[in-house]
Amino acid sequence: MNLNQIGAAFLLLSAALVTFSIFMSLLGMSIRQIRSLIRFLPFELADDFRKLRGRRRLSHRMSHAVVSVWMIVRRRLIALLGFRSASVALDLARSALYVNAAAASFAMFTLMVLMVQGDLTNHYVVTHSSADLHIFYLITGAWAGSSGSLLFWYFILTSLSAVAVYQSRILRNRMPFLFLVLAGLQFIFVFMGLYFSDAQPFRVFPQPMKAGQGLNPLLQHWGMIIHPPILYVGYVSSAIPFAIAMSVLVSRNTRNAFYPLLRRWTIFSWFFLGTGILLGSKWAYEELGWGGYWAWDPVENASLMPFLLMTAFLHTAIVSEQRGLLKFWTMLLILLAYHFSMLGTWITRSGVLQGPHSFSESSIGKPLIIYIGVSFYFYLRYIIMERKRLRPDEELQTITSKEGSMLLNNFLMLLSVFVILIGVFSPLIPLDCRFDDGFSCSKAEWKLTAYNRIMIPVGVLTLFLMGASPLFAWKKSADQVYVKNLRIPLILGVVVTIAFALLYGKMFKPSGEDSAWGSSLVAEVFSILTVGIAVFTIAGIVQEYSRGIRSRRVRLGENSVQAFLHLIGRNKRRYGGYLVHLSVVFLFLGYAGGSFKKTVKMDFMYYRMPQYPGSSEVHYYSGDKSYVDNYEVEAGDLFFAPYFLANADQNNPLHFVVTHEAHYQLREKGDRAVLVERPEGMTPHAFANRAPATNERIMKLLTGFIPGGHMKTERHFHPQIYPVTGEIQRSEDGRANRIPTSKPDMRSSFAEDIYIQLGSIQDARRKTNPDFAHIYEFYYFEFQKSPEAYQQLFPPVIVATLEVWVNPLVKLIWLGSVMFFLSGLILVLPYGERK
Amino acid sequence: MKTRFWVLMILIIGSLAAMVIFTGGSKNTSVMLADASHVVDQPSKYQEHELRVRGFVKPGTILRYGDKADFVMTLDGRDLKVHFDGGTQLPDTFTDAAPVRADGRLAPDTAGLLVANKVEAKCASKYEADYAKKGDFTSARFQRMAADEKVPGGDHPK
Repeated sequence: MNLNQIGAAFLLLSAALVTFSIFMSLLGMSIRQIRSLIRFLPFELADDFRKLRGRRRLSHRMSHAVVSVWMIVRRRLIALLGFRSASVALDLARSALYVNAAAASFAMFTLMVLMVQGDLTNHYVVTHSSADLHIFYLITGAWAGSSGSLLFWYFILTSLSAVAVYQSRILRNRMPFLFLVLAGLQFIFVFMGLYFSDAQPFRVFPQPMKAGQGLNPLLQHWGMIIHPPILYVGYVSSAIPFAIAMSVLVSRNTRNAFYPLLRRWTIFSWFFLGTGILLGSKWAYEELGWGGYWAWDPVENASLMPFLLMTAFLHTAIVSEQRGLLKFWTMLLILLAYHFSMLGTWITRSGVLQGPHSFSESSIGKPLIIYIGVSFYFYLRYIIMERKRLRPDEELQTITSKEGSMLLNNFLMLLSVFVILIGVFSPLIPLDCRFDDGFSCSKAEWKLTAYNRIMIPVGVLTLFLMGASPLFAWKKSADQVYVKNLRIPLILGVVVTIAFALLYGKMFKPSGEDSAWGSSLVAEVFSILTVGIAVFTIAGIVQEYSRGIRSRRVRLGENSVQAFLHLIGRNKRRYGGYLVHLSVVFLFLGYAGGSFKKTVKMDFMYYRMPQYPGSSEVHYYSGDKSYVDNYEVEAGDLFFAPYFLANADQNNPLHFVVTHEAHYQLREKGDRAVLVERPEGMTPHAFANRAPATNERIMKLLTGFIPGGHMKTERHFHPQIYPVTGEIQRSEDGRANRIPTSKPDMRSSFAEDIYIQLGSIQDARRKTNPDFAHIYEFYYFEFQKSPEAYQQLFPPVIVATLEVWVNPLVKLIWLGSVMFFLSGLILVLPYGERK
Repeated sequence: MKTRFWVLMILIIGSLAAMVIFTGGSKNTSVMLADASHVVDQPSKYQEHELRVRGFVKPGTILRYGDKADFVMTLDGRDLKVHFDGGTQLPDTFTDAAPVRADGRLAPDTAGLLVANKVEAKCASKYEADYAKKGDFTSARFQRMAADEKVPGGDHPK
């Protein structure tokens, strides 16, 4: 038995365990719960409308027949299996879920071992690894592709389910539905992993392939190692609070007792999703080479939607718990959050929205979307059918109270989700309707501006409510608490808004051009408002903290530091929450900096330098200068060179990655150029890539900037491999198919980032852009780097484009991200929660 | 209270909708996706909108002058004339029979001329080249290509 068979056997075992668990939970469920499983919503609504009661209800009559049969079957089965009571079945269901977590972990581990071994019979290994990869990427490659990531998803789901099931052991009689929800979801994933070829991680080729295709080069980045698992944990764990909420609803125990468990799991899920999204931004910024961190890309949107819904849920849960309001709404939000997490998985993994114009579909798309639709209807029924139990204890009194502002903010988040949803689906469904030539709808792709135009005002309003809400009081309107809570923050906010409006022109240099942020005027107005609201929010948070600290000092005689730490430790939901608010303020300030963003394209002319004896690089030099804002960019060397991954064989063309590597000096205006001479015997390439002096490194660490600083940006061209023959894929004319990736460079200070990326390279005389990666490969292998080929293959003059972005305040986004992580961690860690 | 809440909601949505409408509707903020054959059949539907049109370069129609180029895009037996204005660089994969995606607008006066500022082209792979030789310029081929594409490049990077 080989490892592929062992892995598949684990998956089969897992499927059997899940099925067993589903069956046992059904057996252990009370008759009332079984009846509620088969209630038919239209009948229920019709009965309610006709005000029918008890046995006269249509739905009762329908379920009665099924339930009476089930009662007999159940009694017989329990007797047949020799169980003393139905709770034995529940114990077995629970144990099956524990064992299943182990089975799924073994399957995941098997796939990792196959990746490290480089088993060329396994389909997944062949399409996602190659011999030159570092072992680190071989292991993490196990979740880089579709079927591997689904298995990883399943592994996390089973592990977290085991934890949740363990936590529910005291409440077992009330929680059979928890088992059923979790096992049901597990069943869908293990079913896809076994049945659909796209999702089978242990699928094998009839005979071994010659070579692996390698890992997508974009994924070879540190962020990609931790970003997907964190995001998956976020997506997957949303199933747990949802399962808890639904089992509470089905058991009709809607008292407040379950809120702490529900809230803790939602915070867990929310924290991981948020951290995953922010890490993804960081990766996009550092790896994709387009100077941005957020592009409203379908995959990004897929994760943002459940995050917004969970944020909304966490806030209404507070209102539900404290005031007995919004119970229905809270349940609806957790239902939506879970299904949007699933929808996110569908968007990322089904391939439907990968390329807006490709319309390709993987086979798991259909079962997954059907599951989402059916599950949404199935669980929505409970919320609708139990709506009477979810009625508020009292009415909402004023909109400027704490609860009113939270409800309003909730509404804005839901509105955002709705807008994003339309944007995500507009390339697939004709949603872009116009009236100009009769009524017609067509498929369209939203540009950044389309999202920003709605999301920026909504975001700014949300930020304001986020700042104001903690200052409002329960049940009271704003005018009643104005003097006590609102006056100082509000005055500070207004003063700063006016001051910033007068001075921002001196601090930033607005480009005056319309950008993705909207027209320049609108973008600037919103950024001014953001700064004002940020100050208002920070002032509010400081005021809240100082009051809390003062109170503890007076009451308990603590010093300020003790009082501060105890405030967070003893009531972390409130004071830890404020820290999250603070991190959001920094994120928004960073985003607002985007409206002063500038993009410039610079064309530099380069001349071919003589071939350096013994070196394999092709060397060009420019010396041209160009200017942006307050900076001078001087183009230096440009090389076509080979680049090898960690375990590459340098003589193997399959491992041969071509790089275009360009070096620049970035100076602030007025700085002098520092000339350093190349030592005798050092190749130009080694000289250009020499390590910076220690003092320069320390200076860069502290300020993010070195006067006369050296910057280097590259483009790598990775070969695409055809695994059957183990050769590079080539087009008819012999050109290798290569995947280009960008390696930008940035100089980052607190005020702004200078972000550069090498673009295309043209032959200056012919005005064409030749395939230099191909020419270089030809020069390297066919001509063995001969001096004649150097002269003849490479044009004497080339023009290389450099894209430069000046991104103000990006550092604040990373600062906000770190703060989000730390403050979220305070909330997630299991301490300091009052029982 | 409920009435006041809903009035506020309607005000917020109303003002957002007004902002969207008064800043030019969806015309400038979204790119309409279209097949070259549809654009030829119903030019009036696509007039005045920013378009992303897909099709194949009709062999023998490329005419380059400096940075600019004229060519004919073909799909499902319909031909669309394209003028590339040299706003960006033409990719070197832009050759006869290559699958292309052109971003631009239909010229206002000339019927059925697409003025493109960006052209993306794909190199037909060795395994795909047979279709190009046979002159298979149909939308079915796009779907086949999309299915093939999933294998070599792996999955979406995010």
